[in-house]
Amino acid sequence: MKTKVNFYWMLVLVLGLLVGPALTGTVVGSELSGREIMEKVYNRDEGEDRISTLRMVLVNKFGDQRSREIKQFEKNFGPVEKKIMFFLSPRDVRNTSFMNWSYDKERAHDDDQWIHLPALRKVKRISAENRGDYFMGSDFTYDDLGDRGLDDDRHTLLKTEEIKGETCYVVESVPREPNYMYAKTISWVMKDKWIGVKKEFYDSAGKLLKVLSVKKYQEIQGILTILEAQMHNVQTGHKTIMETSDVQYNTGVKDDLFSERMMRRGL
Amino acid sequence: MLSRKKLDPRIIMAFIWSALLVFSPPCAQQTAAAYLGGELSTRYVVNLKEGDSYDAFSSLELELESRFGPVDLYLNPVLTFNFQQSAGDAFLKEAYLDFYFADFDLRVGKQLVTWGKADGMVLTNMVNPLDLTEYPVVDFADQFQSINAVKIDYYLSSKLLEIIWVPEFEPAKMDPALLQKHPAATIPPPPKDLSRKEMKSSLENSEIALKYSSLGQGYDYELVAGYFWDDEPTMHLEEKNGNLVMVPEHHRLTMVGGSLSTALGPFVVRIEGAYLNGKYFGASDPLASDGTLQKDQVKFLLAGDYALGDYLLSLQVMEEIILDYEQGINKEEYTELVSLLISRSFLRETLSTEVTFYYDQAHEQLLVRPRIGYDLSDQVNFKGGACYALDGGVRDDVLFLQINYLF
Repeated sequence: MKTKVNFYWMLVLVLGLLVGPALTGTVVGSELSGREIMEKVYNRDEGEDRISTLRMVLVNKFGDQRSREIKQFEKNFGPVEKKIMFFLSPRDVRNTSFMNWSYDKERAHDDDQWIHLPALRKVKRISAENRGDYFMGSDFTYDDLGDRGLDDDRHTLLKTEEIKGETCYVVESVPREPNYMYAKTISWVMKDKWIGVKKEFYDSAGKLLKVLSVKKYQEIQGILTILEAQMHNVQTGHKTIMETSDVQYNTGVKDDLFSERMMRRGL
Repeated sequence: MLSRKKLDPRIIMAFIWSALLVFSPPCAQQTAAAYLGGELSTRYVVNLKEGDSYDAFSSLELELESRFGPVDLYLNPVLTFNFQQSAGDAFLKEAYLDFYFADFDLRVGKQLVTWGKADGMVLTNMVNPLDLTEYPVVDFADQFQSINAVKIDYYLSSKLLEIIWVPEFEPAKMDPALLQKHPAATIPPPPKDLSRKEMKSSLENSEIALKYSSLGQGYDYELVAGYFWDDEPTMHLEEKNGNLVMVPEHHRLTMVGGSLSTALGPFVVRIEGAYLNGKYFGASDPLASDGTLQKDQVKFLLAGDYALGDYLLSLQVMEEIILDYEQGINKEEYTELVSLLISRSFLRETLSTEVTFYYDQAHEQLLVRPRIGYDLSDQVNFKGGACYALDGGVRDDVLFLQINYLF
């Protein structure tokens, strides 16, 4: 399990608390606690490596749209999980790349993060601490996109509820960190599938801030994968639609892809 | 056998190009990708000192990338037009070929190379000469001139060994305002003898630079060395035919240095240092017969980036020290350059704001440079800002507004 913010583990990790592959042969009863439900969501098979293309459509309250496209590669190296993202569009961020190395909790080491700024011909180390910043102007904070630790929150099963014909566990997660950006989150996890279909984020005053809704998911190479989700900031009216495509698991992504060489070289 | 005179760097460059094109892996039939993009910009600059004086420029910058198997072609032509002077210019900002091999990459052509961890301050970043004619500077990269070079990047696991050969020396393009306001004060304006200013193109006059660097868990570092020419000419005072003349001349400069960056919680700490051997300084010392003294110089930078809520703060302090200092050198033994950047973005990063303060002890000036940028859409954005001297100031205070169309 990763220590903390897994900076850009994009769509699958965006929904990290919500989404999990089907655990075949597992019997789940309503006697499960909130923590046990979330543990099953966390302990899912994500493959050894993953390649995908991500498109983010940012929609403001007037309906104006902007889009960003990213190609990303991720690989689990055991004690360290690495990912590299190449920004494809719009033009002003084209050829920018970002790399994140996330370490096991036992290593007690902060993530390493770098950004390649093509205009400066430079790869810069950046701090991984700014978890509350919004990613590329979207409605997702870096922490929303991250792989939050299971025990960073106290999980309570509130009830079960039907959504789109599926029975879901409704789990409230309250952060242990007192000054965390959210007072709590509430997740709707589909029974038996361990897939989240909805998540609500409450601001520090306890007021509903954002709603994340899964629009489309599909099993790819035996791994359930979110292909479309929407984050709606109900306080500002801003929305972000995230679409994932060209997903491939376990292709044997080369180790040296996660390097300064590739950050500079690009795709 | 070729004599040394025949080893013209231009011939060597042509040979390298030809050899690479002939012996590189077959690729003509496998064009994998091509990209053409560009940016059309118009900038208005108002001179605050001279009231209604302003300049207006337009530029069209294209980017062409084409991939032929393991070879990439990159072209970055630029067209500019100054409306006040009714004058235009066309040049290649960068134009190179990248060749990718298993363990190393090769880049041949006109290129920009950035070394070091400092932002906007020059310590080890000496491969490309400065271009100080651009004012105001909107994009930091415009402060450097691209150069013809051969660059080899050899990869050893997470380490990189970079070797750069610059066949032809290019001098810095100097800041005209700086030249006017800081003449050698004790020296009358003698005529110039430019006979030694021009650098002959030869293998002996080429430059070479090495970098060994690592990027990895916890910290990144670079160790660098270079055998350069000083991009700024030294003004020697000599007597010729009974008259005093000023003889500008470039001198060899050997640089060794290094840099390191690491994240300490919310801080990113950056350190950089350079040792320059063979630097010439102007001098009014009577013992300095030609108005110059040669001394070694040390440059050191300590910098930190810190996110304070929604604000990003970046503080840099650079110290320059002239070793074995002698009274009479037209520069202080210790000089500091300090910059503080405060930035924040709003409206989902469509509105960006920043202000930078510069304290330049050598030129006795305190500058403030506010900037604002607004993305109207993914294609159209605006940039505005000012360069204003709170104290001192070598150049006139200006305001600028730039409109960009990206395609």
